[in-house]
Amino acid sequence: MTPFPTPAATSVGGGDSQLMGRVRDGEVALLGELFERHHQRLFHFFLRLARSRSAAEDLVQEVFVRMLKYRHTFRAESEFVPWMFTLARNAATDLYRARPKELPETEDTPEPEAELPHPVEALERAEQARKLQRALGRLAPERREILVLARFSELKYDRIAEMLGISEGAVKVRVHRALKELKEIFHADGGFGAASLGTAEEAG
Amino acid sequence: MTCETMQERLTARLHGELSPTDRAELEAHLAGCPACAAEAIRLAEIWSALARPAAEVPSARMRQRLEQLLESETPTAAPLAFGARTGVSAGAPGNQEIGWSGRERRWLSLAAMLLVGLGLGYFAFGRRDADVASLQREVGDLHEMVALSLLERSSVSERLQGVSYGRELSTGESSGRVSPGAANPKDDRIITALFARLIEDPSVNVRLAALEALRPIADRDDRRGQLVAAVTRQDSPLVALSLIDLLLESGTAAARHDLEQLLANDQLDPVVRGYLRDRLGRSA
Repeated sequence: MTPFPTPAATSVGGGDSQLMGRVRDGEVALLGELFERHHQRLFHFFLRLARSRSAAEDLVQEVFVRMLKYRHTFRAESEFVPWMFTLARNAATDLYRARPKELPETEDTPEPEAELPHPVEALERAEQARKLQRALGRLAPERREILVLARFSELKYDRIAEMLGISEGAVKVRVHRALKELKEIFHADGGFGAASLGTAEEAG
Repeated sequence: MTCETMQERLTARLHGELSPTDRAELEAHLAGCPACAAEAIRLAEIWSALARPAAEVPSARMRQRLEQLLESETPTAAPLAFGARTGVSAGAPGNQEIGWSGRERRWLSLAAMLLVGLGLGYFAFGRRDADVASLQREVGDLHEMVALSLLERSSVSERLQGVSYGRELSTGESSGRVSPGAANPKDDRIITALFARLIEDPSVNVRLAALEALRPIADRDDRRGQLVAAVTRQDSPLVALSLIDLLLESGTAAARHDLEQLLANDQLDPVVRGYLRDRLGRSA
């Protein structure tokens, strides 16, 4: 399972990098297509990093503001997604410097989820989501960031290594340690409880 | 191979980065190690839960905000080609009207009619300076009223429209009746309203748009102090950095001097201070 399917690049044609190259060269309206392709993934990435839904939305917006502002720095030979997540990391870092309260807090409870089909299931999943967000909030910021980046960017370890300026081996070890610590914190807080998620399909 | 090494491979496998050889070794290990097999399930569960988008979906407001951003970026370009899922090659002129209330539409229609009347009168009856000037004033007043009204609205998209309209007024882009940078009471009202957006607006987009609208007056001595002061009042480093760029690009020695004074302000955000120091150093 990938977290969020990337819409097929068919509505306008051309890959992300090609589109961003055209945005850089003056066709700024094409940013709308890149937004369509990537805003959901960015939104969920920021939901895991930020404290609130509104902060996550503001951060997505900030990424696209920066794409416009720094479009001249995009190189034709670059890959778009790593560049986008570099902007995303910087946007989050700047927000936290300016407004530290936007950091997830250990006792913070995220906004309730929207309706789910069955009330009991909805409650269980909402509770799990809260626990998971609490657990993420207890990770050190660096660990939270690398884990969320690995999970949501779908970038390979070598690209994440390049982005963070560390070795590929270090990325591998750090992602694992972050995931393991998250799991431990989450289970210490009651874990999945009675609900069975049946999510081991990815282990295969 | 230790269990710890194997567990690192579990995460690598979840991330889809395990070579066939490592994968075969891992599976052989899991077959004989119940502890690691149990860990494999727990890690997979948490990895999966991490990506589960819950029921959160981004609001439609985000798309509208982007449209407004793109519009503010290309105020004089051809109609924007932002098309939600329908392809961006087709024009979407309807976007130009997002957020406009009936009242503003009526004012604009009236302004347009006055402009048409102005042109017809000119051709039909020859130029009568007093009448033309009178009509121009009325059109200008309507423009100002619409812009000031929009700048105070609660909707971000309307305020962005107000900024765009205010920019036309403060620089004379639309009517050519004001030379850029010239000061008169009406323009000052618009400029003051744009400053209010730059400093107080909760939306970064509106602040950035207001900043761009104020660019033509960045070299005005009577307004420079406000721009410098606005740097210290930003909670968004992006806006503060853009203000610094704007002031330095205005090219006046006074702007540079004022920014150097700003470095002594210990309330300045460290990120902004670092950037300012770099910019002043680079352009020295």
